[in-house]
Order: sequence, then structure tokens, then C-alpha cells
Amino acid sequence: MRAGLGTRVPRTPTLELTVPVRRALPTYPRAAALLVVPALLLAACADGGSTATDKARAAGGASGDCITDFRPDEDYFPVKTEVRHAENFTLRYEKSYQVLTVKEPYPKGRPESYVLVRCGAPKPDLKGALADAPQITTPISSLFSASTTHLPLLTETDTLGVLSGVANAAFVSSAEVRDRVRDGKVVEYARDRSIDAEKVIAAKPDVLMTQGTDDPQYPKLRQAGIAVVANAEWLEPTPLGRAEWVKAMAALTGAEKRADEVFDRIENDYRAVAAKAAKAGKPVKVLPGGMYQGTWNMASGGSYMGRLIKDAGGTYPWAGDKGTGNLQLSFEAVYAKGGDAPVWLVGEQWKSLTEAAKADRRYTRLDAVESGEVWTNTKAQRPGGGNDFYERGVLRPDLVLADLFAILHPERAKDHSFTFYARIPNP
Amino acid sequence: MTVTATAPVDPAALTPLGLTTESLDVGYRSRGAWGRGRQHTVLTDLRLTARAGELTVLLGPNGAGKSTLLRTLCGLLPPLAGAVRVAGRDVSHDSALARARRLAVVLTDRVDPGLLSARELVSLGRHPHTGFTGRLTPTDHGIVRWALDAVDAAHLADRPAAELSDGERQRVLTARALAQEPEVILLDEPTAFLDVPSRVALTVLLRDLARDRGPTVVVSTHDLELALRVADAVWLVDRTGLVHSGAPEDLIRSGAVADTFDADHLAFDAHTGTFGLRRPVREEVPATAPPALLPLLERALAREGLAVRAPRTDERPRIQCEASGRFTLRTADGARHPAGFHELAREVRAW
Amino acid sequence: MTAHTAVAPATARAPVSGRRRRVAVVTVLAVGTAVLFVLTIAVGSHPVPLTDVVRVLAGSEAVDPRWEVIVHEVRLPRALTAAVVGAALAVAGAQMQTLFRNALADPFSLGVSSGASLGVAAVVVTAGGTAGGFTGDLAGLGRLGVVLAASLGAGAVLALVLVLSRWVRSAVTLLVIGVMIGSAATAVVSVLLVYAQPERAQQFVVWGLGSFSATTWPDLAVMLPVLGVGLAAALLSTKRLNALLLGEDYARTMGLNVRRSRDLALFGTSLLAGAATAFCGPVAFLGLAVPHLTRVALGTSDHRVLVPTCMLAGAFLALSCALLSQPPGTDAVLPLNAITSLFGAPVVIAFLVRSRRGLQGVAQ
Repeated sequence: MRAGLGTRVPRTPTLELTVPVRRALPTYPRAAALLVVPALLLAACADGGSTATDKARAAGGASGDCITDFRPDEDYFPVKTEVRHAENFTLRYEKSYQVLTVKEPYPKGRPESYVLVRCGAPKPDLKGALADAPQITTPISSLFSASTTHLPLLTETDTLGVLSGVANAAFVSSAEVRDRVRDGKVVEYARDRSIDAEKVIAAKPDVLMTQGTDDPQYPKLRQAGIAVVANAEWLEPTPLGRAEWVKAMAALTGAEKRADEVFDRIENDYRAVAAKAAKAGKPVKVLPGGMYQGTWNMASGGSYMGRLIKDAGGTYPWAGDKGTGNLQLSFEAVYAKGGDAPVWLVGEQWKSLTEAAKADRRYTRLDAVESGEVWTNTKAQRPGGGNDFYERGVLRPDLVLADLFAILHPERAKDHSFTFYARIPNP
Repeated sequence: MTVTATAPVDPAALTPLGLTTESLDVGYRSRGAWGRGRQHTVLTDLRLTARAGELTVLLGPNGAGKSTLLRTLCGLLPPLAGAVRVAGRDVSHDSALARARRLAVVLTDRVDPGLLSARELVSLGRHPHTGFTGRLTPTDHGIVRWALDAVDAAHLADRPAAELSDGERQRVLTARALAQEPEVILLDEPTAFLDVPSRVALTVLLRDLARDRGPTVVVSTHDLELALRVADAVWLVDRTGLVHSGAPEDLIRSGAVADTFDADHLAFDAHTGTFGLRRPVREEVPATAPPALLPLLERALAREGLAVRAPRTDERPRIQCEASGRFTLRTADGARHPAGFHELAREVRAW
Repeated sequence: MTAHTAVAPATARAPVSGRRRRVAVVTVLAVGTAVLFVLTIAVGSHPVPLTDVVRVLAGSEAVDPRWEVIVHEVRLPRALTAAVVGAALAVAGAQMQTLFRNALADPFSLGVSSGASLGVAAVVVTAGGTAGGFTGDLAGLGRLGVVLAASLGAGAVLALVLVLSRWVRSAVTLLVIGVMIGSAATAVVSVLLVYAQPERAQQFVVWGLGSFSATTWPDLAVMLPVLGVGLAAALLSTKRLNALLLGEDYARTMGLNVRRSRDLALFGTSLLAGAATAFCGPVAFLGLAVPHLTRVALGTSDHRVLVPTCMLAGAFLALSCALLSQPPGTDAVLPLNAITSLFGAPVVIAFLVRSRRGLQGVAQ
């Protein structure tokens, strides 16, 4: 749930300095991983078809088949994933290895490349920019994950078995992952927000995937021979771009084919809803965000939330703002320009609108509060834990968009069942 | 307001007793980490009197307890036993405010007056007399003016107190104490930071103040000779913790001053009331000098360990000093004529 | 003593000029504060015609009903908050600087804001948690809960300081103790934040940036009387503060009950700083700088002039910062503490460096 949506203000530089709002990340013990991998292979075989010797499947599917008889001329990646929406990573294919490049591994960070070598292939002797790039043998068998947003990338591609460590299980929404933590298959390595480097080094996962921010422990872990791979999907401004990081994960786990299928379905569903919204007539005015200490935190038009609202057939006074972050606005401006919006989208866990009035009584002056159309994205919030909106929602913008479409155009989505959003009761 | 009507200057209105101590023990309680601390008694069974209209000087070597006594007298330290009385009344029975109207102090603390003018600083002394808001009435202003006049500081009134010289600041602080209209003023080493003319001026000022305006003035000081000359009465704390009191001359005659302050290199001369250097005399030298120059010659020779004696009738003086300032030294090598005391001293150093 | 002017004509500075200067300073500040107050109400991100502003203030209907909300619910509370909190912090700072005879003392020297932060952090951490508990219940109260928690935190620190002051004779020791309590509270805050939900931790950060815009009328109904009591107490204690100017020993010999005066000043200051922090977050800089600026401008440390002028100057500067933090005509909001510190500090430094006697208003 590190990526910012709605009322969250995650990455103002000031805020970063003052409070470490880092996210919990994944993991699990090696022994457990080894147990799980064969099971996965079985599952993959069953899923992928009967021709187990099919080269394409061996190379592109979720297969652990290593190259046994390496021939330099053979293309071991007949299935090549194409990245269409994400702008912050690229995948390049060579014959026996791939190059995953993350353009901005953390805000203002310099690009990082990782050479993903098919197991069984000799390590390529690379020159130039890639000479120092870490070489990772794929498919990996163990992964420490720094962000809960990685978890759906694994569950939806049936590769959860590689997960051997998470930063802090308290923020994990997925029941499946929490069960694994409880059973000891997945360890927690950053419970109090700072990475327990000893624990990570002792477990020696094949890859530690970052939360898209830098951490003083990462150089130490790299020195210890652990591949630290950046996942900075939250820097993608578009919902589909964020979701597409499932392909970057799949390049590591060897589940590219499955990832393509998953993403194609998400993209299709997303486009279908967006198309319905485009035909729904004049965009509905909404009011995103909320106020704390008198300052309204508003998603810019070019941000993730801004795109979602636009694609769901909505608009708001700051929709034209090209920025990808959040705006800090005075209530006066918000009220004067957006107080008449019939719908208000918040990120608060209010049990009723009375609590909204208690938080700031000026909220009661908003039209949406009077009409009771106040929607919160905390339907899937676990008490005291994480909000699945920030976990599964990142991979499933189709579900988020469907929710938003149903909120903005209720007459066109009468039997919609909400995943992430819920209306705050008006007593 | 006329100054004499409100200021504490009418001697008839005062009991002649001034400040008295009654079997007073002074000292301090050290604060223990747990529960009560221990008592450290510094001076015991003090029965002292400082009379109104007189300047009483508190003398004693460092560490004898002068400050402790003074802080007890002004109420900053509680008496360990006995009582302090002002005009016969035990001050511990007074409220802090009532005491402040009877007793004022000038402390050794270096004050930083900030952005106060001298007049504003003196006005602070009106604190025990003003009402709840601290507003000054015309009467208060009059008293402030009077206090500044009394210490000869009227011309400093509008100067920032922080820019005053040390001597000026002590005068202004004294005026602040006066503005409290006290019966007793206690000053703790007010001359400590002052140059010699300022010391004399302040000490004389305090004596005149006591004489002319009538309060009891008690001053502690290290400035022995000046104090013995100017003071009306002396409280002398000796090395054993006894306090002698009386006129300076009484204490000189009794030898208390000499007993207290004589040291290896310092000798109190009861005749002159001054201190001299005590140096071992290695030789007595026959010398002559006109009476006006004799003391100077003696001082110069004393520094070199020589004493002057009158030449015997058959003896030629070895040092001869004439009224014109011409010196004649006679040695085995013959006569020499050093120019001035400096050369003379260098010549005789070799003897 | 300001009335006493014509005694000693033979001085380097005519006393009249000092008095004229004070009158001029007070006049300029009073007019400036009034102008800024009107500006804060009259201009904002959304243009509201002046006639309608006046109409709303007079209690009648505006042409556009939204204007009534903007003027009555947004601008007026903000202007009032800025003016009163500015005055409160300035006066609290002046009291602390005199009490501790330290130029660096400010309203938060005793750890009051750290205590308030601790209270808010406790609410922030437990909010939305399963644990519930007292602070979790406070979170359910919304804004009131935050204010209550901040007040409780500030009050707890104050109580601790007052209890310790029984045993501590020296004001400087007390100051050191206050600073240490403050750092201890801050340390606990950082531990708490580690376990907070990130969104909640963000809220705490936002709270720490300070704001005059958060208060609504129900808040003001509590805050204004509390700050009013604190300000009145400060006005009534000017005589005591003056007696303390020469140090505690002199104050005692002038009949002042130093301990009681100290307790009263500590209590009053904590009331002012605690209430201001509870509602507006820890607003930096004003409490430290305004007393210095005022002393230098007036040319005196006399609290009977200084305290009321500090109120005006505090209100004046706080209103300026409020205006700058929400520049009229724009929608944006800049963090208040960034304005007070970044904009204010250079002004103060320039002012103090130019003034020959800089920080002489208090002892070091």
C-alpha cells in the first residue's frame, strides 16, 4: 500500500524526511521455498498444457526447466513480453538472457539494469553499461518483498511459492500470504521499519525487491551478494502502467506467459469500463481527497487517481493539472470550485458522516455530504492492518475503475458489487 | 512631594537601634539527595548592632562568612537560630513584601539590566510599594528622582543601564535600593569591580547617605584601609569565626584588625591605620633625609630589605638625601649620586 | 514610568524620544494588525466582493451563499486564530525569556509542544487499530480527539515540570530539565511513528507543519477563552516579571514570592503554548523571535510596555505568515512553519544584526 491514492500524500520530500513511511516487504525461508517450487512446477505444467517438452513453454512459462544442453545460437525466449503502458521499466531480450532496466528505481534515482540469465545458460560476459549489472539466474526460487504491492503480482501468476520474506506482515491484506507468515514459510525482515540486514543475509534470498525508495541497508545487502531489484511501480502515473509491473516480476519468476494473460485480461476489462464511461455522457463532477489541519490534499489531474477519475467518466476542478503528485489546497479554493460536486471520494475510515463532521465541521458544507454521496476506498481495509486497495488495487485497476464507474454512473451499473469502495453511511 | 517627607530620612522617626541580631546563627542547609540535608553553621551567636545614620562596615578575610551573614540579614538565607531585628522588630515576622519595605540590598550578582534605562532600573525598587499593576504614581516618580539625586546619578537617568560604567552602575543599583525606602540598606561588596576613585567616591557617598538621610547602612568590603577610615562602625569577622564590633579605632587598638589580617608579608600598622609589607630586614643602614622625604626613603629601602636608622654622632650616613632630591651613597668605592629612587634602589640591592 | 519625562534635561538622549518611539511602535503595530486582519478576511483564493464580505460579517445574506461559508467558516476563524495564537505565542515567549533569563528560551522550552506531539502521535498510532484503548477512543472523536490528546500531552509535561520545580531552585536547571523532557517525549514520538499506519503517520507530519486554517468555530469557542485567560494572566503579571529582570535574588529582596511567580508564569505559558499547539500544531519561531523584535523596537525590557506590545507584534507577524502561507489568488497552501521560519528568520536576523544592542533584552 505504498503507492499513493486519494488522500495519501506519500512522497512530499518534507514528509519523507520526517517520517519514514516505508512499506513492509516480503520474504520467506529458503527451505520452505524449495518445498514449494516443485509444487508450483506441477501446477504450471497442469495449467500450461500437456506438451512438457515444448520449448516455448519451457522458456516462457512458469517453468523451472533449466537449459541442459546450451547452444549459443538458440533463442531461449521464444515468447517475448511486450511492455505497452509502463514507462519506468523496460525488458530487452537476448538469446539466453534478458535485461530488466528500471529507469527511476527511486525518486530521482539513476537507472539500474539487471541481467536475468536463464538457468543452465553460461553467464554472459557483458561489456559497457551492463558490465557491472547484477546477473540473476531465473527463474528465481526465493524473493524478499519490500512492498505489499508485489504480492498480487505473485498470487495472480501462481508464483507465490517463491515469496520467502515480507517486510512487515501487519500491512499485508492477502489472507494467503498472512497464512504463510503464520506457518513460518515467509519471514518478516523489517518489522520496525528498518531492515534487519542480518536476517536478510542469513536467509540469502535470490532477490530482494524494493518498495521503490532507497534504503541505507541496500548497499550492504548487495555486497552480501543479494540481488536488490528495484520495483518503482508507484512512480508510474497511469493505472495500467502500474499494473504492468506484473511483467517485470514475471521475468524474474519465469511466469511471463501467465503474466501476459493476466495483464491482457486486466487491460481489456479496464478498457471496456473506460469505453462505457466515455459513452455515459457528460463527465460527472467529483471531489477527491480530504483535509487535515485545514489543508486539502488533492490528487493532480495527471496522477494515478486523476487518470482513474477521468477514465471512469468523472471530472474535477484540478483534472487539468498535469502534475503527477498531490496538491495542497486551501479549503476555500476546494469549496469554491468543487463544493458542488455530487460525489466525494475520501480515504478515511469514517463509520458515518457524523464522524466526518467531527473531523472538520466545514465538511458538512459540501453538497456530497448533504446528499450522502461520500465514498471511501477503505472497504477492503483490515482493522489495524493494510488496505487491499493499495495492495491488490495496484494490479487490478480494472476493479478500481469498475467501482468508480459504478459510483459515478450508478444507473449504468445497477448490480455492481464493490471491491474497494463503500458508501459512508449517512445516519 | 518633598524629599524629606517621604524618604526614610527623618532620624526622629527611627529607633536608634537600626539593625540588630539576636543570638543569630548563620549558615546554610545543604540539600541532601534524599530528605533533609545537613546544616553548615558558619557563624554562631552573633549579637551585633548597626545603628541608624551610621555606616557599618563588615570586614573579614575571604571565606569567613561575610556573604552568608549578609544574605541572612537580608532574608535570602533563613537564620539557623536567633533573629534579625530592624528597629526592634523581628523581620522574620514580616511578610516578604513588608520586609522589602524595611530592608533593601545591593548584591554582588552582576546584573544584566537588558534594555532598561537607569531610571527604569531604579523604578524597579518601587516594587514593594506599588499596587497590583505596578503603575508608578507621581509620588513614586518623585522618590525615584530623589534616589537618583541621592547617589548623584540624576544625569544618568535616561542612559541605558547596560551602557553605564561599573561605578555608575553601582550608584544606580544603590539608588534602586534607596527607592525601596528602606530603614536598612545592605550592600555586598559594592566596590569590588570599581577603580580607586570610584571606590572612594562610593564609600564616602554611602557614609554621607547614612549621615544625611538616616538609614542604617551595612556594607561588606575587602577595602580595609578605606573602610577603617570612613566607617562609623566595623563588624570584623576574624579567622576563628568571632565577630568583633566597634569603631574602627576600637578594633585597631584591641589588635583585632592586626590579628585578623596580619600575614607573612602584610603587617598592619596601628599608628597609621594602614598595611605595610612585611619584609625581613637584612641590614640597618644609617641614613638621613628631610622629614618630607624620609617616609619615601624608608619605603624604597624596605623593598630592598633595608631599614633606616639615624646615624650615630660619629658616623657618616651611608645614604644621604637632600631636600633638593639629590642623593649621596657612600660605599667603600667612594660616593655616588643616583638620579632618583629607582637608581638608588638598584644601587643598594647589591649591598 | 513612561509618564516621567522631564526631570533630567542634561542627558544624552531626551526621554521624550523614548516615549515617542514607543507610541509610534504601538501605533504602527496596531494599525498594521488591523489592516492585516481585514486583508485576511477580505482576500483569499476565491474572489469575494468586498461588499459581500461586509454583508456576511454584518450577519446578512451574501449574493452567493458560498461566500458566506468562505468568509464565515474559513476566513474569519483563520484570521482570529492567527491573531490570537500569534499574540499567545509571543507573550508566552517573552515570559519564558524573562523567567529563565535566556535569550533562546521560547514557549516550547519546557517541552510543552513535545508533550502535545506525544499526545497526537499516540492518537495517530492507535487510530483505526484493533487495540482500541483510550487513545484509540480519542481518535473516534475526530478533531476534538486530537485537540484533547495534545492538551493532555502538554498538560502532563507541564505537571511534571511543576512537580520537579519543587525541588529545583535554579531556573536554569529547570530549563535544562524542560529541554530533556522535551527530547524524551520526542524520542517516544519517533518510536510510536514506527508502528503507525503510514497514512496516519502522514497526518502527524502534517500536524507538525503547523496551521492556522484548521480551527472551526467550535474550536474557537474553546481556544479563545483559554488563550484569553492566559493572555490576561500575562498582562496581570507584568509587575512580577519586571521584578525578575534583575535576577531571582533581587526579586526576593523586593518582596516577590519567586516560587509562586515562577509557577504562575510556567502555568500561564503552558496554557498559552499548550492550547495554541493543540489547535494549530507546533507553530515555530514566533514565540522565540517576537519578544526580541519587540524589545528592540521599543527600546525597553519593561514588561508593562513589552507584554501588550508583544501581543500586537505577535498578532501582526502571525497574520502576515497566514497571508503568505495561502497567497491570495492561488489555491495553494504552503506549510505554515516553512513560512514562519524561512521567511521570518532572515528578517529577524537582519533586524537584530542591524540593531546595536541585539539581544540585550535578556541575560545570557
